[in-house]
Amino acid sequence: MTALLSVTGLSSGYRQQRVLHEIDLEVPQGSVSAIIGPNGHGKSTLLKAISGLLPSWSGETVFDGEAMPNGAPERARRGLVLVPQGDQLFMGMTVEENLMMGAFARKDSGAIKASLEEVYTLFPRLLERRTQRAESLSGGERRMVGIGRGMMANGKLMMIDEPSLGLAPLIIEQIYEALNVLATGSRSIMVVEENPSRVANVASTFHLMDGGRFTWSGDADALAGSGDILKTYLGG
Amino acid sequence: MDAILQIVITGLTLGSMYALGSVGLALTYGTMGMFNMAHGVFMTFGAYASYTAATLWGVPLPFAILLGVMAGGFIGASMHLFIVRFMLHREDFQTTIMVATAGVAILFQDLILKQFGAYPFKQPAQIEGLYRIGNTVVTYQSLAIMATAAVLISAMAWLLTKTRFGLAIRATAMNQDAAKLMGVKTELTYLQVMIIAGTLAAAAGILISSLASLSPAMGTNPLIRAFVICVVAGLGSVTGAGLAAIALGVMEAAIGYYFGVRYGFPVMLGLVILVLIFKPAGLFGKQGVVRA
Repeated sequence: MTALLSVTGLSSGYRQQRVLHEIDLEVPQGSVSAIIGPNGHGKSTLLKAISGLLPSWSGETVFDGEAMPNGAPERARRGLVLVPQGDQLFMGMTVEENLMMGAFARKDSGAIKASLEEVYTLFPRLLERRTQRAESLSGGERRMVGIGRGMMANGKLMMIDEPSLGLAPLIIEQIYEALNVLATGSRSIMVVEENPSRVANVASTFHLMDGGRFTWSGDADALAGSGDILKTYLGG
Repeated sequence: MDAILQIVITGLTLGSMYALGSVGLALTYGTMGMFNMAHGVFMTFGAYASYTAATLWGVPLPFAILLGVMAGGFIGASMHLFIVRFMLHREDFQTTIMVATAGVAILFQDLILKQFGAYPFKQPAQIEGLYRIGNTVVTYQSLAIMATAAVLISAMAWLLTKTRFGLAIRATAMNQDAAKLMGVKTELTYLQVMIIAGTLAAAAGILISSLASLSPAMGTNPLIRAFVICVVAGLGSVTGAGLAAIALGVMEAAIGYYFGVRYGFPVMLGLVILVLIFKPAGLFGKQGVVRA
């Protein structure tokens, strides 16, 4: 099976500070991969570099058989979707306007409607709040809008950055229930999460990131049997 | 009663010119975080361009005005392509761009001075005649100014709120990175914003010069007024700028009538100080509250 996303030798960072050191990564079609690891070691930076928000310093990103051009808008239009950390909603727009922004690059208005239905089915809360401005929402509702907006793009790969960040435990559970539903479809998803126990049941492949490199990769069974590694890095 | 009607009409004329001059400034600030010190020179440029076309080249007036307005869009686009584009993603953009655009303003003002001299030419876009309501005089010129401003501002409002193009601008203004992630080509959006701002400024310049006259420094006072209006409204609030412009125009007309024209501008400047003390984010602006 060919990989949907294939990254080779990717380095990137902020200003003079290199954060990612020649990352290699393959994401197969129709699977859920998780990138785990402690804070401040480049997980979000990797997603930003793949999405094109951060320029790649070296290396190649091939997505759906096509070498990706520079720039986030071009990559987003080719179906590489990032649900960014901290939601990054359009605060002055309503919930529904935010969701429709997710479909900005799409032309198939009938299918866009279907996507919107799908989002409202997954997050009925958003249907209740659809005319409310994003700035008036709670943290959990904002996260739902962020994920829903990502769904609206109907991309080929959805990258979700720390879906549990800054939420109360109960809300985190709800968000992960929703991600579970998404994961059971044919979607390809890559999720970044600090705490591996949250993604253990959702993802099928795991990559542990430390100091801007992958130090361990494996499937769910390997993760279960790798107690020592995880303890070393995450203080389990 | 007559006095009040006269004040309202004068005020609305002033206000609609100010609004046309301010909304472009508010739009560039709101979208790019850029305070364009050359906005006043865009007005001057538009006014001289339509004067040149009509008086020196003999182009029929409607086309000359159209040319002047397009010249504004052109200079807005050029400034973006040659200057702003390269500075946009640098650190301290908000500060450095003010210095850079102030430089552009000085350069263009002096180029216009060199080319045309300081002689106050008359803008050919004049409509003679007046209309009386009782003892109140309404010149056709005022009506034309109000109508032009209303049409242009409505067109911009429609563009911003009802079209896909406007959606891209609003999204970019609210969150640049998120807009990029939605596939909005933000670099193109910035260029479009500069063209719109330049076009509106040039139109304002043509209207202003039709009441006063052409001079290389004619953009300075309107720029300060536009700045005051944007600060009172809340920097970046486009609707707020339009409303504040009308209000300040009427206020200036009232002060001019009761106390003398020379007090209008100082009172306006005093007002901005009061607003900044008691409502630093402006009347329509929002305090930047960040929630994670």
